[in-house]
Amino acid sequence: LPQEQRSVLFLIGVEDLSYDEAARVLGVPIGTVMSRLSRGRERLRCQMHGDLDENRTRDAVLRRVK
Amino acid sequence: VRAADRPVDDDDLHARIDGRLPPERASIVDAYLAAHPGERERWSQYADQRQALRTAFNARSAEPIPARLRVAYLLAERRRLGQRRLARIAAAIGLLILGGIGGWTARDVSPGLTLSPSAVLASTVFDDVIAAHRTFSVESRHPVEVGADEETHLVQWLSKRLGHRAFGTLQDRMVKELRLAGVSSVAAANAWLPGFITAYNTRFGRDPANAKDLHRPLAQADDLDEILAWREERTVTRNLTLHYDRICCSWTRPPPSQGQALLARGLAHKKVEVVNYPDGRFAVQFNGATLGFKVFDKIQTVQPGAIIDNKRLSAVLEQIKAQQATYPARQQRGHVARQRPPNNLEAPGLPSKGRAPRRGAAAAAA
Repeated sequence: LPQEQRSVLFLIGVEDLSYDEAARVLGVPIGTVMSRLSRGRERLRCQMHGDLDENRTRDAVLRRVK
Repeated sequence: VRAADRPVDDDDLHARIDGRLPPERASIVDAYLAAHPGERERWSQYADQRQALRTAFNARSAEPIPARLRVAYLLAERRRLGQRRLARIAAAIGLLILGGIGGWTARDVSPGLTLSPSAVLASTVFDDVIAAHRTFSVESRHPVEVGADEETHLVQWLSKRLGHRAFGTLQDRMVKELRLAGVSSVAAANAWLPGFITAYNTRFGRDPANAKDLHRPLAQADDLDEILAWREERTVTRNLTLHYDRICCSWTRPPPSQGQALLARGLAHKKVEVVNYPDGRFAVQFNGATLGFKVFDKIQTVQPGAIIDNKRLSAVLEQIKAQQATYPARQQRGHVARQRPPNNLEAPGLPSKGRAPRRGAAAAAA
């Protein structure tokens, strides 16, 4: 995994930081934390489960920007 | 749209896994997952993954975090870095103000800092000393070692140092004569001067061969630039180019005017004059008519501006520039050794440094 996704996964998954705290620690906006978390988990899942549905088109790619 | 009514997206999914969802939203997400088996599978895989990560790091996370990695410490360090920068700026401003105040008060305290006449004298003395040092320090043989009888050597040395020829000026003669005559005051020197001038002129002056004064005022039609320009003859090649000082001049195509086109076509193998004006301009003349041309410099030089402008090529250009600096002087456009007065009008004492005589010509002369 790229370093940025790895650190987000670690801070949120293992260290149990809230999204807000993680954003402050990393010095990035909270939206960036969310997207990194999402990409990191998806990528890790694909790697662990043997790319079985990597090509699957995801339903909701449109994201709301507040 | 109320927050609870938003469609469920990835953010909700991750927040559900991490337990960061408010309970009413969590129930909506759970219902959504129950309705979508594919999403539920993905969700469970995410959750497993999170659990696996936690167990993998559990041993590590159970032990106390090293102080240097604690989140609070990281945050504090980031803050401290900013503060340190601020402190540095503040210190610089403080020192500046302190220095200003110090200088302003010292102005009254120390008379040496005001520009008293003696101080002005001292500063000019220092300037003289620095100038003298610059003049003399580069010399291997010190001027003090030059005997008083070696005036020619001294004049040569001075000419070299000053960059122009102090040729036959007998510059220190007057000082020596003053001393010989025992003159010690301005009045005595003024009384002594007319006799010295006549004696000097009878001794060193030379009568002109023809006493007629040939100076004349500059006429309106006289173009000094044309008169003082350095001219060299070149033959136009078959391709209508000519070569001068490693520059290739070719005629502009299409030529500016029809008349010039006819002229240019007939120019091959003809002799033209390259005119090098005193201010550095170039012109090519044929029978007194100036021809338009464009220049191709056979000595290609990488300019510093090109290095800065081309971000991608700058490294290569820099290397080329370094390589070009190692070329012999005749292949470097701006080299000092190439810069010569084009004629001896600029430096009358110097012989005109034209092209070195060809080997054949030298052999014939010998």
